[in-house]
Amino acid sequence: MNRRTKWIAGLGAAGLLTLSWPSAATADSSLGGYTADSSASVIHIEVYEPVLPLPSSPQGDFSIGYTSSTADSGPTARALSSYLWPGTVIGDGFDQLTGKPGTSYPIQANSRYPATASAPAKNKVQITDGNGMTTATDGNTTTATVTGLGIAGKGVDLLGGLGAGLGQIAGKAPKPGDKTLSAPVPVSNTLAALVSAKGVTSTSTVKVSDSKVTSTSTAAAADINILGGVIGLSAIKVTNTETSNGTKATVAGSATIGGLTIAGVPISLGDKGIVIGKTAIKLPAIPATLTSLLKTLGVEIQVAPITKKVTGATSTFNGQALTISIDTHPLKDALNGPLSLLVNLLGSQAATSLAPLIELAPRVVLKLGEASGSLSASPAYVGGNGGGTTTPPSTTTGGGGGVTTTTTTGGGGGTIGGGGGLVTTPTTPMPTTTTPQQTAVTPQLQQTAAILPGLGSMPRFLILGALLLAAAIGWLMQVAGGVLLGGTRTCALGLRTGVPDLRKE
Amino acid sequence: MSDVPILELIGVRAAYGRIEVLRGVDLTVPRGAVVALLGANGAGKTTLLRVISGLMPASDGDIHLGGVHISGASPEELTRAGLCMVPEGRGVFPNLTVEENLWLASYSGVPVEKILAEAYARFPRLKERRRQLAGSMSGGEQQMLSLARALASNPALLLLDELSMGLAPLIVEGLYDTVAEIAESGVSILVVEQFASSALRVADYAAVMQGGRVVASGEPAEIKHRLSELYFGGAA
Ligand SMILES: Nc1ncnc2c1ncn2[C@@H]1O[C@H](COP(=O)(O)OP(=O)(O)OP(=O)(O)O)[C@@H](O)[C@H]1O
Ligand SMILES: [Mg+2]
Repeated sequence: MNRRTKWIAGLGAAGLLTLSWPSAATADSSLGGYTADSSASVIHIEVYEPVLPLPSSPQGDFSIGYTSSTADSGPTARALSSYLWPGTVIGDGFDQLTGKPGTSYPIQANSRYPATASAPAKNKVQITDGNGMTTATDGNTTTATVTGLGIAGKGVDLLGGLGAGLGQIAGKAPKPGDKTLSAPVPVSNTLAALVSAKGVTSTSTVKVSDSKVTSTSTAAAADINILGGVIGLSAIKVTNTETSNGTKATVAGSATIGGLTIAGVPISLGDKGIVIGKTAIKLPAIPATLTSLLKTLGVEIQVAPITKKVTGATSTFNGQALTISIDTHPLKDALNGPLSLLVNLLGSQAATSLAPLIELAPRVVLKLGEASGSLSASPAYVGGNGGGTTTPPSTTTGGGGGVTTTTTTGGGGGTIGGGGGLVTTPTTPMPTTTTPQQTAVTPQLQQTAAILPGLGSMPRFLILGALLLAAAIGWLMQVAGGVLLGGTRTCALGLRTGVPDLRKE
Repeated sequence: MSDVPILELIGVRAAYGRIEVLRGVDLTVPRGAVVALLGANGAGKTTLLRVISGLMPASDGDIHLGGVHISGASPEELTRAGLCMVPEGRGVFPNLTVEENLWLASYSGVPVEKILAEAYARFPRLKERRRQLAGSMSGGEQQMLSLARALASNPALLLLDELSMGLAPLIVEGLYDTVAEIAESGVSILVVEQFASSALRVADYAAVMQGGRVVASGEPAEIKHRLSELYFGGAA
C-alpha cells in the first residue's frame, strides 16, 4: 500500500533471502574456520582510580572515534562504531548499570550477521554527513566507521585561551588580551580541556573471501590539543592490515605522529614526522624547561613500539601513535598551589574545567591513535565445517617468501575488543615513573565523594561514567556537533562562500 | 519586511545513489512565514530538509537563501547564517538532564544563563523538570527540549521535521501553539508534517509533496480541502 510498508516488506524478503543463502565464503572455498577482529580508536582515555571498587583496571575508559569489527566462520559478525565509546563495561552492559532492562548505550551504531532489529545489515547514525557512525556487514565484509569533522573551532576558543603564563615558560613574551570564554563552565568543558581534536576518523574492517580473511583498522586525527594546548600534535595516524589464508598469516602496519609542540614550542620530528615501527623510538630531545614544565604538571609522553606477531596462520597487531599519561597529583598541586601555575598556564577556564576529572582520578592516560587486531584461520580441509575457532596449523608452508616477522613487545594497551567486561583481570597500568601512591590518594578522594550532594547511593563508577559521558558528549558537541544543536554563533569575521546572514533582512 | 523570500527552491533534485528521490522541487518560504510541507511516507520531505540544510547535495536545481544563490555551502556555514533544523526524532541526549542538554547549546557562545532563562520562560515545564534525565521525559517534553535547544542558536529560518511524531493530539496542539509564537517573534519556519491538521492551523502557506515533487501549494484552507485527493490520488 504505502511506500513505507512496501519498503519494509522488501527488506524482510531480502533478509530472508540472505539468511537462507549459505555464506559464500565458507560454502566452497579454500578457507575453513576463522576468527578475526579489528578495532581502532582515535583517542582512548583510560582513567585509573584504584579506589573504585571495580575488578578491572583501568577503572574507567572510553574512546573517541571507536570502531570494531569481528567475524568468525559461523558465520557470525558484528560491527560497532561509536563517537564516544565508554568501554565494554558501560557500553555493552548499559542496561545492567542503569538498572533499566532494554536500554542501551545511545551513542553507537551496530550491525550484526545474521542481522537483528537493533543491528541491521547496514546501519548509520549521523549528525551530519561527514559526522557519522556507520556499520555494515553481510557476513563476508564487516566494516565500521566513525568520522567527525572539527567544525566548531573557528571563532570560538573552546579551551578558554592559553593564559599569559605559557609564553613566559616557553621563553616567549606574554601575549596581551588572551581571551577566555564568557560562558560559565558547563560540565562538558572538562574533556575539551583535557583533549580536543579535529578530523577524527576511525575504520575497522574484516573481509572474508574464498581464499583469505583480512582485517584492517585505521585511526587518524588532526590538530590534537592536550591539556588546553600544553601538548599539541598536528596529526596522528595508525594503520594495521592482517591477512591469513588458513596456512600463513601476514601483518603490516605503522603509526605516525607529526608536528609536536609542547607549550607552544615546536619539537622537531623531521620532515615526515615520526613513523613508529616495531622497535622502540625515542622522541627528539625536549628542552629542559619544557621537561620540567611537563613534570610539574605530572605529564609524561611516551612512544611505545608497535607489537606485531605472526604464528603460522595466526596474527596479532597492537599499535599506538602516542601515549600521554597524566598524574593528576602534581596537576592538582599546580592547580591549588600558591602560584596557581595551572591557571596561569591554561587560563582559569580550562583549569576549572579540569577540576572534576582531577578530583575523581589520580591518573589519566591518553592513547592517541590506537589500532589492534587479531586473526586466526585454517584451511577448509582441516575443519571447514565453520564451527568457529579451529586451531590453524602452526607450520608455514612454502609459497612465495613466507617469512613471518615476529616481534613482540610487552603487554600492549589493548583494552578495546571483545568480552572482558566486569570480570577482566586487572592489568598493570601504563608504565610510568610517577605512579601515584594509593595511600596518599585514598582519603582525599573519599572526601570528595562525601561532599558530592545526593550521590551517596550511586555506585561511584556510575558517577565516573556519567561524568565522562557528559564530558565526552560536551567534547563531541564542541568539536563536531554544530548542526544538531543549531550551529555556532555568527562569526564576527563574516561568512564564507557567500551564504548571507539570514538574521539580517 | 523585505519581499525577498528567505528560502526559494527551483527545480531541486537529489538522489540516494542512483535512486532519485527529489525530482524537481519548487518551493518558496516568504520571510516571516510559516509554511507547512505535507506529504505521505516516502514523499521526500525529510530528504528535502536535508538538502536545504546542506546535509546532502542537490544534484540539480537552485537554492536561494535570502535571495542569494547557494551552492555547496556546508551545514555549519548555513547554521551560522541562521538556519536551524530540528531533525525527526528530536536528538536530545537521553542520559543527560534537561539542564545539561541545554548547557550543551552554550558551546555556540551564547551564555548559559541566557539559554536557560529563555528556554524556561517559553517552556515552564522544562524548568520543573530541569534535573530530570531527558530520556525519562515524555515525548512532548523531549520535543520542547529540542525546540528550546534549537532556539538557543537564535535562528532566522527553522526547519522542523515531524514535530508530531509519536505524540498525542493534545500535546501536538500545544507544540504548534509554540510554533505560532516562535513565528510571531519573526522566525521563518518550514514545517514538515505527515498529519496535517495542526500544521495547517498555524501555517500561512501549505504545500504537498508526492513522489519527490511539490504537487500542490496554496492557502492552508484550500490545501486542507484537497488533501485526501492529493495524498492518495496519484499514488498508485
Ligand atoms: N539514506 C537513504 N538511502 C536510500 N534511500 C533513502 C534514504 N533515506 C530515504 N530514502 C528514500 O527516499 C525516499 C524519501 O524519503 P524521505 O525520508 O525523504 O521521505 P519522507 O517524506 O520524509 O517520509 P516520512 O514521512 O516517512 O518521514 C524514500 O523512498 C526513502 O526510502
Ligand atoms: Mg521524513
